[in-house]
Amino acid sequence: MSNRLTKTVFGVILGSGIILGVASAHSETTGNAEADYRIAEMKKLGMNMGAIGKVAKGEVAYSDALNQNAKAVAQLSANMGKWFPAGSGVEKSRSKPDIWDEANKDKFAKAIEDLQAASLQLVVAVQSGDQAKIGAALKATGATCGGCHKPFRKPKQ
Amino acid sequence: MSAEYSINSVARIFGAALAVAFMGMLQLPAATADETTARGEYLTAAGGCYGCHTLPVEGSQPFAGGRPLKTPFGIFYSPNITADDETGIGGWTDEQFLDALKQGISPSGHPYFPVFPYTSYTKITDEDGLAIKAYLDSLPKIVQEDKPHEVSSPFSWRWLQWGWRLLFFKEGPYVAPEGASVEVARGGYLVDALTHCGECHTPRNMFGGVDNSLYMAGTPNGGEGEFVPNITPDPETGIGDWSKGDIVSFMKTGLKPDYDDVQGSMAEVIDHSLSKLTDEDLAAIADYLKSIKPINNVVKRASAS
Repeated sequence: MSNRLTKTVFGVILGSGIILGVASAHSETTGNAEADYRIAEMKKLGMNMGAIGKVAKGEVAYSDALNQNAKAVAQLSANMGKWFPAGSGVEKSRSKPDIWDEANKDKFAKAIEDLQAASLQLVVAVQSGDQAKIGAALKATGATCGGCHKPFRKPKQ
Repeated sequence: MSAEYSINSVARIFGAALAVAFMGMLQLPAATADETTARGEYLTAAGGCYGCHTLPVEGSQPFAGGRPLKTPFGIFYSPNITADDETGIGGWTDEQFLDALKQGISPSGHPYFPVFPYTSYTKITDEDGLAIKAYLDSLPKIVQEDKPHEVSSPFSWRWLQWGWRLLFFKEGPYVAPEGASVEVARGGYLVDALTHCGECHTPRNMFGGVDNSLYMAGTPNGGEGEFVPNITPDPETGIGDWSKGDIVSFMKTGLKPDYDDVQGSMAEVIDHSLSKLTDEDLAAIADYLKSIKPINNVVKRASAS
């Protein structure tokens, strides 16, 4: 993806305020539909975060469409608990088996709750239109990803 | 000690004397000790010394060493670089410190293993090197004996390092790429001399020498056996699709353009080193990384682990 293309894509994303789950040409299936769905949803989450990030970094001008991105982040986060059905921790997915270990249940649930709480703050910050506030809320939201990724995600293959 | 060495040291002393004389002539105030120490603190952060020389365990003493560093050649334990006279580097002269930092030669004259990135630090200016020393000297002296390395022969044979050095160690100051802007030159100095990004992001040959034909193009088996990404500006396999702002923000916060958080050793590098740099220096690093040759290199794990 060239820089110009990236800008165009983000422009389109921001302009329309809608993100469709685009499966990239490189995506390969894990062989498990539930895991594939989870990966696609995570990608959408990242794309919406990235779109808001472009504005926080001052690379794209703020527009009302950004509210859609923030709402998408909150919505995706709200559903995240359902993305991890038992049996979807397949070899090719980066989810560690520890996720389904009873001993980690609370820790895992709390990590998702932290993201949900932060994403609601992100919605408020984006509504304000204040670049510094948006940046701070993004940082806080991004920081919650590690709550799950550090203990529960395998390294990149 | 070769003849070249003594010439070097003479030149250094002479140069220092000359500099002092010049300052006197020009009525320029030399940096106060406090200023030098503060600059040294910044440069030490940039150099990432803390990461290797501190055991990553709650309550361990900064810079007292003892951290195991796993390499394909065995486990190396970092030494104590606090100013303790017995177990650290207390009492080293400026010249001994610079020889260690920039030549990889200990005060007793033995060559260090290149797990210590003197191959990059050789490009640090003497002035910056001595500021780092001033900072380390200002810290609490910690008494902690160095642990012996757990490296099997022949890699443990220190004398073989002389051969390794002939093959893979290029001594000398940092030289900016031709036609580089002030920012790119500053970024290049930071990257190649201090933050030593290439020590991990550039692949190594079987002898542990970096393969600069693949400068910053990533490797599947970096230190600790980690997957290390391609950070050249190649849009497909590197970070060509990252904006300058993306790179700066990543180094400050550890969050990627999609706001996912960084994994593995890079999290430490950001925590202890990059996040402590000024916005100006981070922007310079981003400018430099944008300016290097894009290399199309897909980093694939050698084996599924």
